[in-house]
Amino acid sequence: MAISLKERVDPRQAVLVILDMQKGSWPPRGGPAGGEEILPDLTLLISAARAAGVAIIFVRNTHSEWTTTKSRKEQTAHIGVDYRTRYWEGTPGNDFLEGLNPQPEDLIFIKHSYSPYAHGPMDLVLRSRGLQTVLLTGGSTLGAVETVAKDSIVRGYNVVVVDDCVHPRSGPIYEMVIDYVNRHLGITASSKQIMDCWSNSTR
Amino acid sequence: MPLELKDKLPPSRCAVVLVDLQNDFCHRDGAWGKIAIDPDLEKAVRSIRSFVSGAHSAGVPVLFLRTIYNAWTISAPIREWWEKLGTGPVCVEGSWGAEFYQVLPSDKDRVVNKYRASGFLETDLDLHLRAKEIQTVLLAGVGVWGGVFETARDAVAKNYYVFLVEDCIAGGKPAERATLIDLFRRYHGEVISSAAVVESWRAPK
Repeated sequence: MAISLKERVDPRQAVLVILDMQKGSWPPRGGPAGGEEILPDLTLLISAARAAGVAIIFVRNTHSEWTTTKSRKEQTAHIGVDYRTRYWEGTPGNDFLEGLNPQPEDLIFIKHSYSPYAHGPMDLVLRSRGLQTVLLTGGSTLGAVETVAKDSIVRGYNVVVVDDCVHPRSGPIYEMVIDYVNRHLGITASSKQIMDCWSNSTR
Repeated sequence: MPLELKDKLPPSRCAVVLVDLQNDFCHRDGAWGKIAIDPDLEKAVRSIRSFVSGAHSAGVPVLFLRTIYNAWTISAPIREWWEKLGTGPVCVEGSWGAEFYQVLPSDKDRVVNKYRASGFLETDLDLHLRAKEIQTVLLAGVGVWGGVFETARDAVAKNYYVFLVEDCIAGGKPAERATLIDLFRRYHGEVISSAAVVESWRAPK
């Protein structure tokens, strides 16, 4: 039986996940500029999540010599770019974009590849806190959001992709991912729909 | 055909992994220290210092595994376990108990956080080892049945050659420690002294 959006985003068991919103992530190599375009909607959603008592995880993509494999170096050589990313560990590009303002009660989660499940305690955190639904935001839509949606459903979590808080949020790749998520990985909803659920919830 | 010892220990393919050298596990005022201090701990710490220095001289990477618990990873079963043990919360993020004990990482070393006993459980330890194309893991530290043993067995399962560096391991009752190290030698991997490892690193190629 399908569960409603309101049940999925119930503050007692949902977690807002913000992927890779760092100074060095945007514009992605060869991709469209302006991850900042989602910031106004995303910061509103973060504030609403905070007010509703929803857990918040800021995922920080972090690469270093210690975590860069030979295969990754091969791949960056293949496309002719430096494997030392613009969000390299210890550089200003690794910092979060201005305006996101993580708070002490939020989790800053370091990841080293597309998925936070790959080399860190994402599953452990969600289980330990009894969280069941991941609300996915940030970017990129194909690289990180779609990967995390897949890695979440296969581990037993419900997925909601916040369709106006991912980057890019238009174009053929966006359309393809949204369609794929809706068919196979979870549901998509706007930040407004989710915030409406929270403001109407009796807590 | 099994590899010879020297072929398992080339400095370029080895990593030293130090487990749980933190106040809560080692210091007499730490959460574990209050209920059980290993009489051999200080001797092991001295051996670890010298072993780390040998690793640095040979260019072998040294990884400091650090246990961290916080509001995101503590669960009801974990709380119950701490209560049963009588330790109370262990290695809580930001606390004195979570800080390193006596042996501190230098700039060339790497700190890897872990969230349960095994250094491999949902951590980036394996990625660190793969990135450096490590084939052999040399384990030292405290908490034989916990951090050291669980990390050692997971390292075996992940296809590393694994050595417990016997004189650099402490924690628990000496008799229990001897039994566990013996079980590891018989069923899982190898046990070696830090002197034998450092000597192999120094040997002309």
